[in-house]
Amino acid sequence: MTTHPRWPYAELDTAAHQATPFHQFVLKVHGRCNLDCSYCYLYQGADHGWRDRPARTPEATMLRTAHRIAEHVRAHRLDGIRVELHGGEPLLTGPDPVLAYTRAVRQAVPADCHVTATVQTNGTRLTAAALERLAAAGIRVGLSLDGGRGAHNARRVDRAGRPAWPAARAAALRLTAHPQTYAGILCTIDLGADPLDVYRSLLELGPPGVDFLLPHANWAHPPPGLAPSSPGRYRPRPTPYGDWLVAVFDAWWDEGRLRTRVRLFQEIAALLLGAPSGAEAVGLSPLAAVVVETDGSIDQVDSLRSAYAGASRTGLDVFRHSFDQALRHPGVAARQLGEQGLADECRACPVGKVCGGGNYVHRYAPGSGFLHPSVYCADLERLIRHVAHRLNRTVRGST
Amino acid sequence: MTAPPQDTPIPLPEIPRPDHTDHPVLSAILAELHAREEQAVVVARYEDAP
Ligand code: SF4
Repeated sequence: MTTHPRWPYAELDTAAHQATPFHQFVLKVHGRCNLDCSYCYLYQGADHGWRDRPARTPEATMLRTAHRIAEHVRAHRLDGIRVELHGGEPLLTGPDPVLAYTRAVRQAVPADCHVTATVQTNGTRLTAAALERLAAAGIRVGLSLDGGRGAHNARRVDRAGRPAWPAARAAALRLTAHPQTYAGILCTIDLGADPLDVYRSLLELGPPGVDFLLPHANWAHPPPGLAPSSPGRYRPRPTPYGDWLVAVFDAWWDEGRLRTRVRLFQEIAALLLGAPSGAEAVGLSPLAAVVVETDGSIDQVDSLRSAYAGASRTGLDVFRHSFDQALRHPGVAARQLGEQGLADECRACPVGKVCGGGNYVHRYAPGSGFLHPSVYCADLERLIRHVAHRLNRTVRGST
Repeated sequence: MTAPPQDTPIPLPEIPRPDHTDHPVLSAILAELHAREEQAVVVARYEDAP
């Protein structure tokens, strides 16, 4: 049985805060993947919950989930939501389940609610025919890659050890012919790869947007390149991830034109200019995302599973519970508290309003939970201060 | 590189939001912020979705 940490589970009064309705529904289409990436927190991590769930979401579960989403949309008069079709690999058996799930949601919600649907895939099953059908249904496609060359993607292999890269590259090139459908690329940072080579090689794949993701890690399991320590705000401290991102930021900022959107950099710049963040990696905006598993379980985001087994579970499901009930779950509420949900170090931190403690998942320490700075604390400050410096100089020179 | 300890207490600069800029990347950011102002509530999106 899962033992949740004290904060937020035992200590947070979830009735005392104003909940923000869910705007983003992460719907699991398949619970299995055709790849066997060595660093995957879903299938290589401590949480084996996926083994007990159906490999594929039954139609009845799709319809029930769509009904619950529509109920939430009506209750909160939402005029737009995002639906993310995820897995496993959501295109494992072709596009039909993705199309069916999206159709169910679109048919269930009121006509004045716009549904932005995106499938996030490893690209290996994105055939020309599948892409045509997804594009025709107005479903965007995002790719998960570790860079724009085979060498960057060496850890992305199938169960027989064959590289995923040739098929993934073909998918990316196919997507460049469908700019309305191409949502972008998610790339997890590998310190062993040269940042400029990764950035420039990704540009060759023509994505409208790229996001560089810090590998999921926490104080008990620090990321590659950072030494273990107890939670805290330590200085001096090596900043290999901050340095990696700074190198990419400078290349992106000095490009002379916008070659691609880079979400992390844009959100940091937005925060520095006084706007709220639209991403969970930085800032203090409420996270308004929820997951529905293949068995209809309502879960928190998958990345939590990198903290401990069962960390993403709420005990709720779409058959017995509404999404409003999920909003009162301590784990969900904790991510909607803004500054109130931060550790003392972060509240006192000079870059705290921009950093926001980083990704919640990266704050975890066994026993005490999530009320800590990020394990990437020094890296985040390094990047934020650099972006502030560059942005300030640009603004002062242009106003 | 190591985050230097002397940086710690230094506040971030106050950066005014310009009305316009010749910088192409900043210009794109400003356009997105303009669109964001029309949203009733800005929420954080899950990062595993582009
Ligand atoms: S706000 Fe960010 S940089 Fe500041 S202490 Fe917290 S995690 Fe570290």
